[in-house]
Amino acid sequence: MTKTENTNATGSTETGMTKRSFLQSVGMIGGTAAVMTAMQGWNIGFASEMDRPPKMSTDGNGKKIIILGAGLSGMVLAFEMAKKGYKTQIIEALDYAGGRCVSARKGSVIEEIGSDKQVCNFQEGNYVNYGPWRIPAEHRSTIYYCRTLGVPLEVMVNKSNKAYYYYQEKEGPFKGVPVRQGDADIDFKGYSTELLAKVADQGALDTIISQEDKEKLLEHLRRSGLIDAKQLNYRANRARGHSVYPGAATNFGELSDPFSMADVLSISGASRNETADHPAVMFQAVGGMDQIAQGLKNALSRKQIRYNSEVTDIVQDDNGVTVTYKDTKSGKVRTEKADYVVSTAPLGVMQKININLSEEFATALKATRGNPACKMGVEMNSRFWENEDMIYGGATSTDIPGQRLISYPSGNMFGHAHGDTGVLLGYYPIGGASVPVSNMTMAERIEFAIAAGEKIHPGKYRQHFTGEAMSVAWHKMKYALAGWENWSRRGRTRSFPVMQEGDRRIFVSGNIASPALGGWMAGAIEGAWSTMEVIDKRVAKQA
Amino acid sequence: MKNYFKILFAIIGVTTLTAAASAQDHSAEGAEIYVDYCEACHQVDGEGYEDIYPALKDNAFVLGDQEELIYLLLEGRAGMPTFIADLEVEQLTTIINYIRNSWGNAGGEISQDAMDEAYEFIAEEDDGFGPGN
Repeated sequence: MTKTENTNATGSTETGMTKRSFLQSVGMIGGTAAVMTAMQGWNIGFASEMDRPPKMSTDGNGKKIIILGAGLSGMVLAFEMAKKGYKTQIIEALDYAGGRCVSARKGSVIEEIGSDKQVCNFQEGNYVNYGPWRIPAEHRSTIYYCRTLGVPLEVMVNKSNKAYYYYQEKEGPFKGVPVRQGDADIDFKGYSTELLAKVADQGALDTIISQEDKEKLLEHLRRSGLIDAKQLNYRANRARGHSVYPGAATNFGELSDPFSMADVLSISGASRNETADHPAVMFQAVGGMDQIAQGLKNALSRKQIRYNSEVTDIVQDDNGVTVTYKDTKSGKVRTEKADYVVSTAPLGVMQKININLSEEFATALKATRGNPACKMGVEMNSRFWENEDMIYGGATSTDIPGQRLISYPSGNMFGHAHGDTGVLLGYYPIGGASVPVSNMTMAERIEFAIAAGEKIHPGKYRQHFTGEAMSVAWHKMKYALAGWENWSRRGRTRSFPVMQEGDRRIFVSGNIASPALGGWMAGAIEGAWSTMEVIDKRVAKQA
Repeated sequence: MKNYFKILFAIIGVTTLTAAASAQDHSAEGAEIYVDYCEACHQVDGEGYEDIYPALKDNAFVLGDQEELIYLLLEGRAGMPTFIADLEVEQLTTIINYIRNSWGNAGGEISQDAMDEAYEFIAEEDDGFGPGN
């Protein structure tokens, strides 16, 4: 980019441009995304297509829909389509509503395939979200239901500067040493600021940016508070904070010394925490994320969900579709007829049902992969991470194989809600890395989690562990078989469009209908919304 | 790096061939990978879990088309995860051959070249869709 173009791209407002012509010029250079960003900067409001359920053109035309699965997606479908006039019936294999949107608290049961039942014995008020656990602001569909159904949300601190980086596999001075994230992050920024300021000052950027911009850049860098104005060296600063905290009288505190640049470069930042959908401040349902599922369940009529019913066969023909299911308690086999079936069952689970699908459609359904995921909640009898380590929420990022992180609870901070206890998310490996953990017994998993935590909080983690823990390997839960499912790109381009259109009377929805939102509640909700539209169009055509 | 491995493995391959090795040469490392990454679902000795996780022993898909099996391992399929991000491509070859030639299976060898080719194709296709929440 030449200097002249650069000036234009930043859109100087002194040229007397109108908003419209400015937006046009931004669009020419940066595309639609740039225009949208610029518009948002001006607070020109526009709603995402997916911040509320789609408008439907029909009133259901008397059609009946059977929905497989009472997870978020199935319940959203039943709720919204019933409102439009469709007759809806959810068939659920388990004895509760919510699917993977669950929290473990006193009395909760987790039963993995081939393992003993775990019964939760956390103290009153303590819980772990062993399903979804954080909502970014940009997931407006999730927030829409929390708002409209009255499910209270609270802040979930996703990133805390006081939490640690702990890397034991990386050579260097910090190998096996917990380092405060804030210290490592600000030092990296500080040295980057120093280097940029120095090269700019020495003229190394002169062929890239204008003199005017260079001066502005240097001013920004100097004012960052990270470098000294003359030498441009990074040094102790108030952003990094104190090693001796300031206090009354003559205690002026001491600023902490930065690590050396070489040392800082030996720490890899946990970039996953900084994506737009994993910002520092996120949200969670008060008291447990399962409250969102409960909100939806309470919005349905009691008869809309039939529990303990495992679907075995689905047969469609010109007249309708017949679903055969087995009562998992009594073994009794029943059938029910409808005009359409929407399966929100995870595709790995849906594979087990006998359905007369076209070959093309059946093949398309195989083009997804399960994403294994494990979680472990460990209960502590003291919030030592708050009381002693000043960590309020956020997560320690580790490279301990199978652990990945420890997340500190954002609920019951300071023990205000129900005393000085809490449940840490002790590990959360996803993908293939979670499989070795899932091959451990419950006792082995607990020891693994506690031993890993002890490395980061030595002398505290094991000491404060109450002995109560709840663990899940989602790929070993019979009616999930994965934490969530993803499409490969080949699958997304070739098979997804086939799946999305449905096969005559059978549709597939849920998280899998939102390839870009795999594993998110928003994916389940918006997947349901998009399936509603497909069905509505189909019904409208027939009317 | 990958080419380096290719050459290295080509050399090792030739040496082991002349040493009259068979598929069983995968057994030690293969067995280890199997315990860590496969056994949780497919159970000890590839027996599977009734009606849920398919047995790998005497499994038509495992012993069938090589390319389909390679893609299954690299991309996942029908609920099965991918291990492309967790295992080195050489380990993927090891485990695929271990499974094809254990517990009475006699599927023969899948070459490192065949695995490399598919691996590169899939890796190029990865367009950064995150793994989820």
